[in-house]
Amino acid sequence: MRLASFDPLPADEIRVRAALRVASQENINVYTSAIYGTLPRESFYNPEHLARLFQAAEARGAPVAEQALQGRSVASG
Amino acid sequence: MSTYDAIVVGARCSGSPTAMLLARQGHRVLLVDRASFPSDTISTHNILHRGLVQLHAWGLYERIAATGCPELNKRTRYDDDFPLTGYAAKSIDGIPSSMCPRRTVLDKILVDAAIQAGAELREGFSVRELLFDGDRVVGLVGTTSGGERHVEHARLVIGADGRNSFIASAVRAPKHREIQPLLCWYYTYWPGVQDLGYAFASRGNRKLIFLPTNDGLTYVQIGWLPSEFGRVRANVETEYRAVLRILAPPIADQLDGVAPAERFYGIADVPNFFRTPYGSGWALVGDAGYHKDPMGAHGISDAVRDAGILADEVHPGIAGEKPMDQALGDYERRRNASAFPLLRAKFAARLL
Repeated sequence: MRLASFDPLPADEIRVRAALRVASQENINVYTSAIYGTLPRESFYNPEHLARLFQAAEARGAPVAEQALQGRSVASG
Repeated sequence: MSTYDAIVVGARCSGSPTAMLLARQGHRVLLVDRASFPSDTISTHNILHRGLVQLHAWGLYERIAATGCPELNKRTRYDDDFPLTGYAAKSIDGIPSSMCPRRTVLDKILVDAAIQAGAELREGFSVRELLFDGDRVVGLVGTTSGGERHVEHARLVIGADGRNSFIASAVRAPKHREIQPLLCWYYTYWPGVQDLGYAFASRGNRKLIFLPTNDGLTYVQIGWLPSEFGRVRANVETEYRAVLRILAPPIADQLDGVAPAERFYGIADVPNFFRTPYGSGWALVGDAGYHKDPMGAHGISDAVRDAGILADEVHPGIAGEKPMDQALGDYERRRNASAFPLLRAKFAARLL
């Protein structure tokens, strides 16, 4: 028998969720579709798209730099 | 003595599809359940997109959609204080991201499909013992709700009888990868809030799953630590509303002053484990072979997936095209290959 806890969210995913707070509805919809399986995961989680997402978020003043997010607790699910 | 190709014990979301698929292959199948359908059961209800795709491939998705069960494309996630709402596109085959039918609806559709495929159904039938020839399971003894005793023989007895499986217990199926219960849960159904769509919220050890279902109702489930179950049970509605208020204030606002449509259903015993799912003359499918916390609501989708794998592998075994032990070994390999990554993704475990 093992003792269990939910995995903490990976740092990259914390960055994604921070960026989504200021993202366009279209971007949020693509994320939602990719997470829930109706679009290929790569339609959202590809390096070029993520780079654009983070860049846009930073331009809007969202704290998506990795060091800014350290220690922040965001639940998975 | 009449011998079935397979007896499937348990006619819910793993048993009925297994029976249906084997019957569609022309095999002689007996499907038994102690319940009579339609029948309710404790459940998270949610069928993920992959589960709906599977049901669509079997011609059953359309029957679920025809019940008026809402498509859950609008999805809100409450992280900390921030609700993020997205709209999932349907996949190119027109399947939505998930649906949450009542089990009275879903299980009846699945049972009817098994009968339509040619399986013989016995409702109100409780299995009392397994029959063995040496180490090999060769059938079972059961009783009807009227107390009539029946002895039935089969080349394969399949336990689709849930996490507390009688079949698994009778064959002493070994458990592995056991993880302590993560949470306990209470759920009920609420009227008038379906427009909120699917919602999920998590903060610390508190979880919320919000799923519109049939009849204009929404299934709302809240999770606490297992050690808190006794305290929560003593004052369920107050505890439930308090957590709802913390996790998702907009939902709590809408449910203020609204009475739930049904009583609160509690789930205290939520083990996480795999069982070795086969041996000589027997197999396990669904929760009987692999059970986990309802967090993520994978249960029904995993059940239909594993039913598909089991029927796919067992068919050549029954048909004599492949040794049955090899067929069942292939079933276990394919089941584990599908299920282990989810377990790794969802849980971080350390040895006690």
